[in-house]
Amino acid sequence: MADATPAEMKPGTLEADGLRVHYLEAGSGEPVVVFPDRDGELFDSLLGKLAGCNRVIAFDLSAGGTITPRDVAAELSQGLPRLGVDRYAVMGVAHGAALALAQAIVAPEQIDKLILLSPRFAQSAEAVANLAQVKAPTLVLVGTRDTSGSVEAGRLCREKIRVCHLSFVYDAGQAIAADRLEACADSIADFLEQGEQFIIFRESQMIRP
Amino acid sequence: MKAGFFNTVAYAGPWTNNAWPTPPVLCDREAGSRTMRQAMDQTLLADELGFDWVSVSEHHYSPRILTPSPMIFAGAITQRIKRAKIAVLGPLLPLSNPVRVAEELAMLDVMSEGRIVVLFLRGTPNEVLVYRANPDETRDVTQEGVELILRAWTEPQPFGWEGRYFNYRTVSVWPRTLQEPHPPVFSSGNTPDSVPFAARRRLGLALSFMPLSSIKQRVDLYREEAAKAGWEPAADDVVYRFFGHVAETDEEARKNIGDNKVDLRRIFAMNEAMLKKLMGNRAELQMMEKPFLFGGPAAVVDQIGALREAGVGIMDMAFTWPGISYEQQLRSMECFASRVIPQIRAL
Repeated sequence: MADATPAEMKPGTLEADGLRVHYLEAGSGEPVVVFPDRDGELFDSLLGKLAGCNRVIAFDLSAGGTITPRDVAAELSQGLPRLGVDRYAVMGVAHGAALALAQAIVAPEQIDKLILLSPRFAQSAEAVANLAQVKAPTLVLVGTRDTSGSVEAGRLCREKIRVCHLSFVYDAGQAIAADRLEACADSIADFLEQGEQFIIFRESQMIRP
Repeated sequence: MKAGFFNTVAYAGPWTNNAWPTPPVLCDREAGSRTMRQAMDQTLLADELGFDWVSVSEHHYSPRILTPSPMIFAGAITQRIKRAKIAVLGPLLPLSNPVRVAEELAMLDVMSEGRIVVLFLRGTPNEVLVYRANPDETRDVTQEGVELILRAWTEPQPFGWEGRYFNYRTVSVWPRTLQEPHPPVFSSGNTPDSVPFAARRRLGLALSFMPLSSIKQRVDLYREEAAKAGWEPAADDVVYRFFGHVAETDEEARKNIGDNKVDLRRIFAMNEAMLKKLMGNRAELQMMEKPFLFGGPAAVVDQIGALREAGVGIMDMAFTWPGISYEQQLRSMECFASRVIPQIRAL
């Protein structure tokens, strides 16, 4: 997986009822819908690697506006099937975690896995209650040098979401995928392929037959 | 100044073969067993004499130290002494599964009612040969292992670890350590570039078998780096491990030691090319002409004063030296405890 040639991201636009959003798309395979951080950075290298085995669709919602994550989720759950995306994994990066969580809660029938990288979201009573509604197996990756609040958010996910794996990426800060690209890409690829069974290592331990 | 007794658990039988690895056939089975009995007796004596801690360490394939698993000996100690701290200085992380190390130390901490202190090390240069480790990577492996162990002791939820050298998808250590958040942890500063890691992570600094000038240099660097990280180390944050021999008079101490020396380079008994390859990014090994602390009580108190001035707050002293018998070690310990310890408390 990590050796796959990074794919070129192609732009597109999705129009739902009240929403017109730009996205970048690459690769083919099981779809992964990505919400990057609110600064619009798309973690090109990570998405390029994931696109070696998956169809990656990264939405650019950096323009912001007053629309809530739940409203975005409602619109996208209507619009994504028009791109041929009916069931998919959803990944949120930093502040994009709130959008990914909303998607998992609003459209649980569409989401088969949830991935959060350096998650940052307001830990209100409502947000905590929402975590318990997530049905999809979840992977949370947090850097060991991250002091932005992601560690606490990750622990909360681990505690409240029904099936959630919290993994620490050693020597990574908040820009987790930039700091440890291979570590992130490999564990995400394993999780996309095996879901919650990704905790079972399948590499042979035999040295010589 | 606090005084620690470093129990080397050196082989009690006769041995003159400096080869490493030392052939197992040279280990007399009964002498191996006697070693453990004597080492435990010595530990009990150190506790009775008022040493602040007793320490054990990990070395392999040699009669110099018969604790390749320091955890086992430390476990036995926890059930025999109830006062002194038990310092595991220390597990060699490049040779270990760090999660297992975290589990075993947590067990020791609860077994000892919270008296465990630990130093994680990378091993002497030859020890990379024991279970396969790359000498160029041992420092980085050790530092990652320390981070993983600290996480395993403090993380409230099960977690995975995506490291450079370690990869675990399920870590959830029971029991938790009795000490909160975890036992005191030291990190080696024997190589100058290892010092900033200890300071940055707010760990204690452990130094060993180096001259006073190097100790001072390392402690100064540690303090500078700690200041950059926003904290100030206390005296108890710096430990120094060394050989010592105390007798009633300077003359008696000199006579006991004779001309015996310890050459750390020769301990590994390897040719220059092999040693160079194994040294990786380490500092040079020293030849020791005599024990670091050496002489009658007055002379030794003066030497400890200099050590304290250099910034060391805990001494971890081995009473072994080539030519010094077990009985002489006991006498040296007793002399140290009665004539030296009372005078260094206030330093």
